[in-house]
Amino acid sequence: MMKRMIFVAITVGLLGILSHAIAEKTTELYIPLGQSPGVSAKLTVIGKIEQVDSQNGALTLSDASGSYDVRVTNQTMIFLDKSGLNQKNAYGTLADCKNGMTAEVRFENDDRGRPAEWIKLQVVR
Amino acid sequence: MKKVVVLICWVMLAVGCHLPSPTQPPDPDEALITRGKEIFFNETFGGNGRTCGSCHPAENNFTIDPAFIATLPADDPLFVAEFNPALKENFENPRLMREFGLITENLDGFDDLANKFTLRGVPHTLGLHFTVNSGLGPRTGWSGDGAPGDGSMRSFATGAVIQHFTKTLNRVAGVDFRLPTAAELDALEAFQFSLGRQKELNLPLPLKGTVAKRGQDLFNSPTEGKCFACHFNAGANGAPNLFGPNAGNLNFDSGVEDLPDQPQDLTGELVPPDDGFGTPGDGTFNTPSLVEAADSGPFFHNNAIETIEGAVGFYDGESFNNSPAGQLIKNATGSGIELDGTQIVEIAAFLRVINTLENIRQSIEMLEKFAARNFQTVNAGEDLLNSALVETRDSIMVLKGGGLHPEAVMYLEKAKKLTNKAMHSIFSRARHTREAIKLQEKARNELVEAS
Repeated sequence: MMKRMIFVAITVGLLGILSHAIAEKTTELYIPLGQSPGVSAKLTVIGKIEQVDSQNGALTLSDASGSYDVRVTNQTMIFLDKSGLNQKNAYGTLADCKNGMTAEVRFENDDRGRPAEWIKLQVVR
Repeated sequence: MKKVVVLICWVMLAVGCHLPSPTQPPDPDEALITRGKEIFFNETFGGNGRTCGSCHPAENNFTIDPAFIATLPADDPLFVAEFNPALKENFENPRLMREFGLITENLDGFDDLANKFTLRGVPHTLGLHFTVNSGLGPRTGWSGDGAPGDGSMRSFATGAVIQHFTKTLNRVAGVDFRLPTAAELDALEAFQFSLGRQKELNLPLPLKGTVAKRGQDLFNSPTEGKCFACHFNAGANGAPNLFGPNAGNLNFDSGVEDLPDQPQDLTGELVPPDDGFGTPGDGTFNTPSLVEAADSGPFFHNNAIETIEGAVGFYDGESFNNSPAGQLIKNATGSGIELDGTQIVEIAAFLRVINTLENIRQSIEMLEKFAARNFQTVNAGEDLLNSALVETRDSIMVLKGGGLHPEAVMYLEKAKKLTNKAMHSIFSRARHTREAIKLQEKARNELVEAS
């Protein structure tokens, strides 16, 4: 019985009860660009939006080290950071991404080959 | 003149007994913990007046419950939703907070505050070294995804300030609150990890009580209680021989949300279902440690069950046995968890005893620090005695609540009196403290064989 218990426990564990450990994203809405604890500038990319491809759900972000292709999916959360204007932050969409905007991108699983988990757009006016 | 000189000497001696020991070079770790403690209990982060200690008070095992809440004055920042017009709607539910100790959290987003929220109990912050880490990363809060950023315990405070400290529902950083700095996060983390036990139990313990001993056997039995599977060594981690050596702290859907007649549901207030980990949630919730359980109820993420006996009895019920976690147990062992009344009480007795042992350990630690004058300020010394008193009070309450170990209760009552005497004494503090320690040890010896 012990062996059976072990087998079932490990199998179920591998299948998904042991869910991928992720941070909560909801309060991320109110964390200004560049200030996500333990993440900003370590795991995220902060740069300027160079190009937005609304049709294919993508954008290009560039910083001092180069350019990054960012895939945006239905799961990607987009936050409008208005804290610099002392205004309430809001959820946004790809349509809010404009060339020249400063943005911060965190990728799924912190893998820059993966789609964006979240994007923060700095709203200046 | 001689009498005056003698009197002055006595006063100096008395004052000397109350002072900390001569200054030693500060331990940098201790300094960080002290800084973290200061922030935890005093820093409002420019918000609505709450501190971390508003929901995690030291004098109540770093959690809140209805009984404790009832002792607070009406203007306590915990009740900010009752007196701050900007927070009157959609910030807390004062009735459910006062009646059941429930706090509002918008874990699935802030886009519909009126309808999208969860109501959860406040988890304590004890023994965090053993309740956060898992093979897949840190698990914080009741659903294991409590922290923003990197999801670590260090980052947890950032999310807490945004959710609970804000002046208005706009939640604008720099206006409604300020975010903790990196240094503050470091200090808060150090302080929180310093709380409670710093090592895991190693079961089975050589318990002396008949009922608690049987309870431990049931707890560790793969055919009866089966509790060890998810609460290995009565902690918060999965059994390594079942879930792998690095499984650590796990999430499970144990069916708590399916319990009928949950107290908050009986009020007619809006209580949306809580879907647990992730957005949308997968129904799983984080496993808490059981060492600290017996004096930190109510239990489960939504405070659904008040007593430790009730919490144990939950696992004998349909909600658990029909849940994914219950089905896992059934498939693995051939049956669900089936416990009769006496067995439920026995397992609860075991949990009461291990909680008391932990409280006694903490009491002795604090009393020994005081006796050795191992503190930096007079207030810190007073805090040590006060904390020892609180833990002793809890030990008595926990044992009496289960009708357990009356001899130990007697020793603990005496220890409590002596600790109180030490607090109010001028000349005999050290003596009273040392005597209190001996009584704590006698109480411990009633519960477990000396090692």
